[in-house]
Amino acid sequence: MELNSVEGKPIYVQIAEWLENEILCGNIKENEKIYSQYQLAEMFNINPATAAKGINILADQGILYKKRGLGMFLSPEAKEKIRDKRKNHTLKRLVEEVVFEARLLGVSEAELLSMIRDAGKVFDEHEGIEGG
Amino acid sequence: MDVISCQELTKTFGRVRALNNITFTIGQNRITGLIGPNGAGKTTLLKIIAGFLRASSGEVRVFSEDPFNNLKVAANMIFIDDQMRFPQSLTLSEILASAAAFYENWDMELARRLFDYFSLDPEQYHHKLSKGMKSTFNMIIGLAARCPLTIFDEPTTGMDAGVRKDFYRALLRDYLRKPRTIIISSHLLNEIEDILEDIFLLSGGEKRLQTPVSDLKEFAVALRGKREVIDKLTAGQEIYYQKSVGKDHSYVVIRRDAAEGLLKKAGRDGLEVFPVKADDLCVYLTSRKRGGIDSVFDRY
Amino acid sequence: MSLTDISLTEPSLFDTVKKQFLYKLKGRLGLFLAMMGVQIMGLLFSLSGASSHGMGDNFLYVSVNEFSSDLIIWFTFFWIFVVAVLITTKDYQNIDFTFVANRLSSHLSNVGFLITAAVIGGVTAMLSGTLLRIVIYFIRGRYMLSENFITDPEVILTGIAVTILYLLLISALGYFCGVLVQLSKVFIVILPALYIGTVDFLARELPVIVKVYNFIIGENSLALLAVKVLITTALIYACSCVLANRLEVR
Repeated sequence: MELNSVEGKPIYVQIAEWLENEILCGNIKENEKIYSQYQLAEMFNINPATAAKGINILADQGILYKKRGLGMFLSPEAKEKIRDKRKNHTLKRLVEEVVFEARLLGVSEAELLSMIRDAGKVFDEHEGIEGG
Repeated sequence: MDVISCQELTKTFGRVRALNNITFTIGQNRITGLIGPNGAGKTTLLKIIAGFLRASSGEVRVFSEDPFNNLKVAANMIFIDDQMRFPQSLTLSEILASAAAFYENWDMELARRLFDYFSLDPEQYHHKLSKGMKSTFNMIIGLAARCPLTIFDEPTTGMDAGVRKDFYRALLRDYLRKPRTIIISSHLLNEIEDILEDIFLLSGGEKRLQTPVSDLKEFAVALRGKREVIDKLTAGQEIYYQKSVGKDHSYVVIRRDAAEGLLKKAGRDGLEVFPVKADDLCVYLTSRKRGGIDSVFDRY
Repeated sequence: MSLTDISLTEPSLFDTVKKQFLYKLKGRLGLFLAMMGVQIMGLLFSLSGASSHGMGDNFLYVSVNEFSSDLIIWFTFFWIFVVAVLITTKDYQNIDFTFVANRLSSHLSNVGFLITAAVIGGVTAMLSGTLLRIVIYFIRGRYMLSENFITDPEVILTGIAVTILYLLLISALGYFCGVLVQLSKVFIVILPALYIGTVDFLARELPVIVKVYNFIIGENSLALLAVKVLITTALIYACSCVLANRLEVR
């Protein structure tokens, strides 16, 4: 698996995000043991300390909980927490950027909304193809 | 426990000051990258740690002992570089057998498997190998020796890109299996960045920075905007790199924590903020001139 | 993580020296091949005879050719001196410090190696003397007088012992010279100059030197010679170790 180290995001943040995606996809179930720092290190070819830092971000946010001597487990409310966090932070920031860019280019609000709707349609079609 | 500690270490060769007043510690079972331009003093520092060279002043401790001429340090340390010599009459497989006798934790199985993977000929002689093959063979010795302190000084000299990648992967996987203290020196950070835990920046014989590599990306940021705005904003700040962009814009790299307050204002002042790549930051921190190579041409 | 930690090893000096000695023996086989070459060369030179003279009158002419294996022994002396100097050089030292070593273990294993070289050199040099006699017997005809053509084993053994002792002494001197050169390149110039220029002068001005020389070399009793040579050799090696103990390597 390849990580993008050219982009500005620190690797441990990318690890945390990858884990979140795995959780959102349902690849890791509630109360299931999560990858250890050594497994992540091997998978992504990174230092285990860096992997641990990624895991700790999620633990600090209550997405993971620790069982002494056994490792990290997925907390039952993990999905909810990730969704909330991403909506309030990541999505909000992305929207702000979109709005900023639209202002800079003089794109009207209505125009922007229609662009968003179009993008959604394209996405739905994709889903449809994959589903069918 | 600290495996290595140096207090005000200085090394001079005649009138040349190769290392100047370096103080640091390296903890157990960490992979540290020693990064710096050529001539920074990396090899000198590593050879002092290995006990080959003597510090001119200051204190050096490895496994709590003075490493110079120390058998205990020698038995628990291996130093791999491209200057390694082996008896000319020994074949590669005989060299491996000799190495196995010297190192208590030697893993012959690992050595054999790596040998096969890199298609080395056991009946070949070391001095007849190409530069890249020599480096590959030396690397195998360094990994199979399983020494508590393993030092690689520019280990990938002459290796092609594929082998370099394999080497770092092999290093990481063997480290995961048998954690140990590893130092790798390189003048390039980008290919080893991911497998490092810490980075030690050396230039001109002085320590520039020692930090977990994951903090390095957040150590500095770049700002781009109108020159007068930037100049006003960064007045009194330590500037790591600066260059002119276009007619009246300028690009500067400053410390993130010092700039935290400034960053809040930055967006509104029409400034753009960029992350700084770790290896670029290393180059900025270790370069002779603030403006880099451009400074040679700009005023001429 | 601590479960899989690699534990520190506590090396013993003796063990390390032993390992290095075996490693060196294996890795320096070429030096023994060189010895064989040198001895064969000595043998070939010896075949032409060390000295010859003739006498006689109109009726009878006697030509006497003396053969001696001295040359082989001298060549072997030269060989061990060169080997002793050679193994103090950076290249050989670098090989030592590739694997586990400190200065002392490196010197001690070198000394062990040179002792082995002296023994092998001594035995082969003396035996090639016997070989020389046999070769001469076959190629130079029957009229051969020898003080001891079929040499008394005791004489051979004594010869071997004395040769080995001299080889030991020479190896120690060679090693010492090599160490001095490693300490400072100035000695590359000083040592030969000292040898050529001053030995004569010193011998004239300082009778002590002559006395020391006679004390060691001019000994008639094998046992006493052995004691004197071994002590001198040990002292010279000890000096070399002490002098080189602070040298930087690699």
